[in-house]
Amino acid sequence: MTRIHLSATPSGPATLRLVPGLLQPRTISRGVHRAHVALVAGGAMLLGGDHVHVEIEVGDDCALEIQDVGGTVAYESRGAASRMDVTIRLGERAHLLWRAHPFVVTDGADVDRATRLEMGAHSAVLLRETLVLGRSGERGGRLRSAVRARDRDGTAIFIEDLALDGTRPRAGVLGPHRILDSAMLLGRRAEAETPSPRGDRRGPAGPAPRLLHLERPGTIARSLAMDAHSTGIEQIMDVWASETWDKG
Amino acid sequence: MNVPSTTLAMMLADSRLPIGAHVSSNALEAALLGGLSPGRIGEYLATRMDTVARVEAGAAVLARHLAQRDQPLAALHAEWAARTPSRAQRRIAAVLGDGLRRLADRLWPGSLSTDAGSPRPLVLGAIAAIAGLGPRDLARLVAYDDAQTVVAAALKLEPGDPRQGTALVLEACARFEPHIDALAALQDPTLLPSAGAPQIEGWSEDQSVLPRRLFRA
Repeated sequence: MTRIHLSATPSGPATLRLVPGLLQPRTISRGVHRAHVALVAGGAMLLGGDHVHVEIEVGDDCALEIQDVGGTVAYESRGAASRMDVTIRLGERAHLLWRAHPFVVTDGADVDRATRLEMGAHSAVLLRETLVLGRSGERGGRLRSAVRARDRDGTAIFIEDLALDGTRPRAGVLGPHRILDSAMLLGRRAEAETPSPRGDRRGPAGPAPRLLHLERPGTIARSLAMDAHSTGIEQIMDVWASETWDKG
Repeated sequence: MNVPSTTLAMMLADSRLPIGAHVSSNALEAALLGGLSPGRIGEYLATRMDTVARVEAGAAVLARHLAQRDQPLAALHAEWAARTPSRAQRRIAAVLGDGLRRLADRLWPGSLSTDAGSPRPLVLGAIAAIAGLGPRDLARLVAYDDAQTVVAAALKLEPGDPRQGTALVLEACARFEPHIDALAALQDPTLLPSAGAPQIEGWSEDQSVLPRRLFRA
């Protein structure tokens, strides 16, 4: 299991504990109450039967930024499903920013993915999640993707199970699109309303992201797309990151 | 007031019920504008049966279970809301829930356990608890209503053979049937199904801001 644990120290830089697994965490920088970590793929990722588990813990008052180096590709499963579990625990007033790279589900892959978040009081998280069915020219395999975000006391914030299958596109799920790109801001509502899409949104720039304002503090920006470069989610990540995270 | 559960189910499924449900197309209007071809409405219904309708029916069954035991519905409301990320979907559910609650207040004065603003599946579940509708028929009622809402709107948006629409409703109900056992057995709100449909959620948001629309939702 890959572990990234950040906790505050009474004086001086925060304590950062990194344990490598199939993904290798590397320190980019570390300061008082904060750290910046790169997550590097340890080899050919997610073959059939592989189980990647990443556990992230951000202590009270700490801020962690994670940057992926290279995306994740799930290859043909050959009879055994693969899985990726991400467990995130945020302390009080803890912050996490994770600019995850695309998660690609190739033809014949069969993958379970689960992201669990436990959020302390006044904590916030901004996650990028780009699910891609197939490399170029492929339709993609099967992906069951779950998100479970709850407060410490168990109150539900965002709960979702997606069942995607590149060989069986479904109207209403992804339609004809092969990419679901999301920026998930939880624990805090997006401040500025990105201009709402109106009228014909099938212009040359591709579909505009929809904003989903959750009942509990949190906003999810989502785009369905054919091409990962035209989703508009990157720009929203930048705006929300600058609204929420101190640049210092 | 004591009526057989069959009568109750027929009444609650009747589109002539004065609760204002005619304002909803279940986002079909935005879906058609957004590129869903009218020939694929059956596919749209099938997706709804596996996603939104399961969440709604599960919430109704759980509300019935809790209301029968005089337990609060707040935690269930939170679980349902966390599985309904589209604010437009939550808002229309609250509007329709209020319509249904006002009707129930007239039919069963003082008996309903839901607050103003409760979403429709919770109000329906609370009605089922006081009026004697079982969990399986309650789940079927939610699915039937979901499908019938889409098809009735389709006849206004893309007029075609109404008999074909009725066939689609029955196909959707048949599609939903394998979910019934699991839904009817639900007792723990945290186990409410959570099947997402991002395109439907996007269309629901689009529908809420559609200019010159026929339907509010």
